[in-house]
Amino acid sequence: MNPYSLIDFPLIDPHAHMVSRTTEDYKAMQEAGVVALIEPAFWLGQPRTEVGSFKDYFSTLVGFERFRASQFGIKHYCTIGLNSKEANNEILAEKVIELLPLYACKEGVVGIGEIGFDDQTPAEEKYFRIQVDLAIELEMPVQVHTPHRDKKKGTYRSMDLCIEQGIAPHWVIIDHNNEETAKEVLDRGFWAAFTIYPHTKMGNERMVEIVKQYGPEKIIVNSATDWGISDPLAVPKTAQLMLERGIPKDWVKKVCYQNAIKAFGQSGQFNESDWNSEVQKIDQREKFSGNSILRGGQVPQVEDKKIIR
Amino acid sequence: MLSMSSIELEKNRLIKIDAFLFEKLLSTCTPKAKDWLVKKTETLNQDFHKNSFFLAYSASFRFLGKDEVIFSNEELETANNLCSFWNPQGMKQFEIARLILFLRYPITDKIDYFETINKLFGIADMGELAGLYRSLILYPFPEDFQFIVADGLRSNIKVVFESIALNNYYPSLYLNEGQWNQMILKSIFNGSPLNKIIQLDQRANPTLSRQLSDYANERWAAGRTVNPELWRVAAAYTDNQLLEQYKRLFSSVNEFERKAAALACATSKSEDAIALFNINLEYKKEIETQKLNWLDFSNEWYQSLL
Ligand SMILES: [Zn+2]
Repeated sequence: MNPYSLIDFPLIDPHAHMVSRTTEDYKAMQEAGVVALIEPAFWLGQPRTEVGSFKDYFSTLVGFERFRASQFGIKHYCTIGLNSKEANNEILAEKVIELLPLYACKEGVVGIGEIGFDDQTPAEEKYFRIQVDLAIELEMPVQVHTPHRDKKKGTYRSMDLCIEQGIAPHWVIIDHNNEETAKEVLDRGFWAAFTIYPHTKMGNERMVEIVKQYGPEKIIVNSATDWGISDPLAVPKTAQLMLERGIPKDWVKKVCYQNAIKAFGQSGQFNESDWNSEVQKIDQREKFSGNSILRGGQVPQVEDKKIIR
Repeated sequence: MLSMSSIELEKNRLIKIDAFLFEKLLSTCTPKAKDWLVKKTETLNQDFHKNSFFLAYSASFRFLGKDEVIFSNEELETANNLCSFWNPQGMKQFEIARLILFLRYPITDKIDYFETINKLFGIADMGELAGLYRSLILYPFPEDFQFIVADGLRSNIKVVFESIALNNYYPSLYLNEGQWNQMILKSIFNGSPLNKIIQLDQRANPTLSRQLSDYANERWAAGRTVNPELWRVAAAYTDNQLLEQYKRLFSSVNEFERKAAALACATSKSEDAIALFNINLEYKKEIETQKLNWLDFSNEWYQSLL
């Protein structure tokens, strides 16, 4: 039974920094209908000073985190990129850029991201352009982080930059939109992603209004859940609220599931069949009852509820 | 100079394996995949760059299919002649392509070679790691892979651990006793099927028997059960503690535990254990007539878990 009573269809959270979250979050997401998620490479709060830290982080995204998600029946994907904040450390940035192609072509990497502007410095712009070029070369979507400060200008600049580099708008997901940026992003043919933040910026209620106003065709909802105040259940909660407020179910399915597949599926690495296959069914009892994530004495979570006493 | 000649020897061996795989793969993949692979290998052959090698290695997944390649019995025999203990059955198209790229790495000296190997393993994703480990016995200088293998056995990612531990000859050939015992213990912790470990019985040792016996006591003390395959391995070096454990198993309400006790006593070299076997009649006949053996027991046990 989904705790969000109106959700009887699968959901995707296309922006979730799961390395910062607990297994409880994975469990709650799975129970609320999330079948797949995308973890964009981002900064970790503490700036990295060695290229090896990036390498190990990227390896975590395609290794351990992928495995951890699988234990809870969630298919884990990622986007790989140098984030805007750390692009300002140019000596390090050069080395990270060299590393990117080695990860970008791997299984389950569905785009270059999250890249873009933070302070909107020349260094940020330089590495933004370089990474859009890489996406064009490898035929991959781009996941763009828009700045929190001077947002409107930063968002417009991001779109201009993408067009100047020669990538078509339908390959680009502009993220963290709000009421002020939505119209322009949609008018210009980009995917408009919205992050539901508790307390600030975009809340669920405002999201409902935006979908009512602009329709579901190019809008994507995500949680951007990370080590800060954020909600890993933002997508299910928003989906539930949209349904309660009378938004048609097929609209909700688009903004909380199908559009993510359309946008990131362009990489060829994000297919419904990946998570619909039998293999993906959770069975920690059979597969993971050891010293991995379940510790001694824990009862594994198994899909067949009958065994839970 | 000595090391050069060993490199040359390895190269000759690898060329034959490569030719065998290449021919087989090309006969099964699509024209588009074939084009990509032929072009990539030619480019790397003419103008080798490490980064293009890493890229091609990862990108194989995008260009080659994910279908399993079926080898005939004759082909499997050829494979075994090219490298003893090697069994390529079950490999997918993109995995074979990766293996080909890997085997073609131009080895000039060992230090450079292992630098690249370390990097390749260091940036590998979950599937790549498992693929790399599965073909370990084919690689040149296999004894020098021990450090990388120890890393893989430490992994908490089950598919990575099992790519070394199960259906792989490498551990039985190259792990020392301590590493071997850790691998067996971890397999039990992970719920990995012991009957898929190559040379499981041959590498039994007193320390391992003692560790397994202690582990069983710990689990019992916590009110839990153990994988009954454990007794197969422990039985080889039966001591008094194990004898007491067999007695407990014989009186268990669980049929698998009673069967395991009978099999353990029957296959043990301990006279006391054989005496126990002779007075517990329930499965005596079945074992003596080979109707019950460890292999069938394991299959039945794993079947019961599904
Ligand atoms: Zn983010």
